[in-house]
Amino acid sequence: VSARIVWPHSRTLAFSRSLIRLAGALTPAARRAAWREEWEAELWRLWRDGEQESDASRARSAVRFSAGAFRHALDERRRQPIGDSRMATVLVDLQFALRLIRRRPVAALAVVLSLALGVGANAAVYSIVQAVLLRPLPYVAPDELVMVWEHNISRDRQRNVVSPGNFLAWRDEHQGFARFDAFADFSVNLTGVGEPEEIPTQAVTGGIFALLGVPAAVGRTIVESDDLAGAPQAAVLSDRLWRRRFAADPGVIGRSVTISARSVTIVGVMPPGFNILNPRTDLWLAFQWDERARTPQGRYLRTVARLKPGVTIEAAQAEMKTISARTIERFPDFNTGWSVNTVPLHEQAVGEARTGLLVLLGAAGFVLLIGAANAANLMLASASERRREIAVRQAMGAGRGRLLQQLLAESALLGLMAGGVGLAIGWAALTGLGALLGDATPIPRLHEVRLDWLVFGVIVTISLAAGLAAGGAAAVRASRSGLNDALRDGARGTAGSRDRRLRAGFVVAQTALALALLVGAGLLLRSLANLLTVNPASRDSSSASPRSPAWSAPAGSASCRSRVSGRPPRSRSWGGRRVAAATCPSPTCGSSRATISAPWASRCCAGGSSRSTTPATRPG
Amino acid sequence: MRPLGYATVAILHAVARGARFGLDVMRDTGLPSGTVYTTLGRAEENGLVRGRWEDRDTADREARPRRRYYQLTPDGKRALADALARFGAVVEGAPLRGAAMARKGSR
Repeated sequence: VSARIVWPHSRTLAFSRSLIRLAGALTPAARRAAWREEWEAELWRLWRDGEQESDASRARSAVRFSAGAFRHALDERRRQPIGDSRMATVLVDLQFALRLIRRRPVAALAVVLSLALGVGANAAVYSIVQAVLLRPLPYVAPDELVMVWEHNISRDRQRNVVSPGNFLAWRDEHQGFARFDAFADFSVNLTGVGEPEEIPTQAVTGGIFALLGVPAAVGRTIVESDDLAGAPQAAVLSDRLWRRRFAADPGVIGRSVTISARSVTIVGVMPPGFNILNPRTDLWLAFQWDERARTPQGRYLRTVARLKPGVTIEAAQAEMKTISARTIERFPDFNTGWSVNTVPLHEQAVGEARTGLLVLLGAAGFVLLIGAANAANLMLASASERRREIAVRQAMGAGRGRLLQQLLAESALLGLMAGGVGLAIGWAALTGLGALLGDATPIPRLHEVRLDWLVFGVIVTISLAAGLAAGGAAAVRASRSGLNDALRDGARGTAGSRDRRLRAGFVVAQTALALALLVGAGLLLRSLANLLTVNPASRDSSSASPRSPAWSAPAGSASCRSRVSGRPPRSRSWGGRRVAAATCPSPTCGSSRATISAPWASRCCAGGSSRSTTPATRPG
Repeated sequence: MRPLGYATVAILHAVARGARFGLDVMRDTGLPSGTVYTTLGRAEENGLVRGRWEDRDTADREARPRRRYYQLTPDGKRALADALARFGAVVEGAPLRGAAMARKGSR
């Protein structure tokens, strides 16, 4: 092709040319350059002639034209003697392997299923590992984000929720953070929009959305001015709540709704999937603390901060310790015996799942190894049965390399088939897991798990490698065996002694791996059983604690108190329960001191205010 | 030699009527690129058409790759005539897209 060619600048044209180049790889090497030049010349003309057409029509024509190059290239290849092009021989081998698989479907199915179970387990577990451990948090520069906890030294609680008074002192005095904000989980009653409903909510300080760097999808986020005491109360909706309760109406911005008996204006809707360490949150409101909040009384906050450029987490922790010492001097009764602890946000979000997931990944790897060993054994048996066929091909002049390539092509094809089945198994496992756990997921970020292109690529590579590894031993053995050996062993109708030893070796390896896996699974089950026995509340199966129906009584009002002290609401609808009771806050949410202090939340109606996705979090 | 298929006849017919390049044949017959080039390749191998490269200078003047053009060989002309005699009624009764368009344009 002439060097003076000027190609118009277009991604579609470049893509179409790459299709032609790819197809050209299938053509015999001697004719390839001329073949490409002819196709490219016509593509060039087609593109020039399409100047009057719309971009879409022009692109469609170019891609459709170039796709035809594959048919031409394959036809060219078919008309050439085998061995002329390396790519061509690979394709011929794959076609031959496909014919063999069709001829022996049961043996092929056994190999594919052996590998697919392992691949499926890996697809499911790797998807989780990728989403939970490897994918960055969905915030701007997530590596700069940290959480600052209070540390209860006497009880050795290193990640204890924080008192607003202490948080405000930290925020006033810190130097190492670019921004420092806080949030707390609780729930509010949404009324005035259809049926009253209890909405999982987060109270936030005004700068938290700016700190995380995530803008609203519709309208705006909560800003500093919304967080001033006495400012009009602003609410931001999750995409889920916006669609469910407001029919995804963009006109919802500026609308007033009643939240826990107070009028609140909706100012924005966050993008789908956005959350601040709690995927169940549907509403965000500003704290609007006044000066009284500066006196520490109760711990319920989680804090998040962004490190200034160049500040390390160790430096930030050292600074926070100094500030903490000053808060102890100021409020010795409240803060003596407490310190601070700064941890990366990703570590906090992943929580204790890291070790468990890595163990699970290891176990899935073992399952794949066992499957591969099983498949290797099956393929070795299959190769033993084909020794005569291979011997005949050797006698007709097939070289060792050529035989090896053909046998490995078959292994690769089986591996890829197992990859396809394994991905389906993995997808089914993830879907089933999602349906089984629902919102009650014990693993953080589990809702972000999906089989994406990265997982697809990794699994296809693993499948290919597993297929080649499983078939490798059989291929090497078969291609190495001499003609005489093959005919002699074949005449006896049994596999060769070396084959038998190799297959026995695979059985031993499989047994060893299975035993290791069994021991691991046993330990895992034991740990799970131990975890399941730890149940701080409602151990009695005859008890139940339905969340209170949403009340529209003003927070802290006489009406609200009388409802709690009077007959339990809707006691008749709790079918089959002999006794019903109402408490405020719920018995498992900690002491009453932990109740949110904000104008629209009260001790009476805030509900389980300190619920948290972080296992180590406890109200103080 | 096996009798020519309909696509081959259509393509040879287009070449005979002056469609020299593959793209012209596609436009004349309405057949996709894969069919046209595969058929032209086989026809060339069977000696029915001869492919030639256009002059390098012509392509360089327009800063584009060289195009390859096709012409019927004497064998190709004979084979086409035989096929047209066999397909005559069909070809005349259901004119090719290019021919139909040409007729429409000449009205």
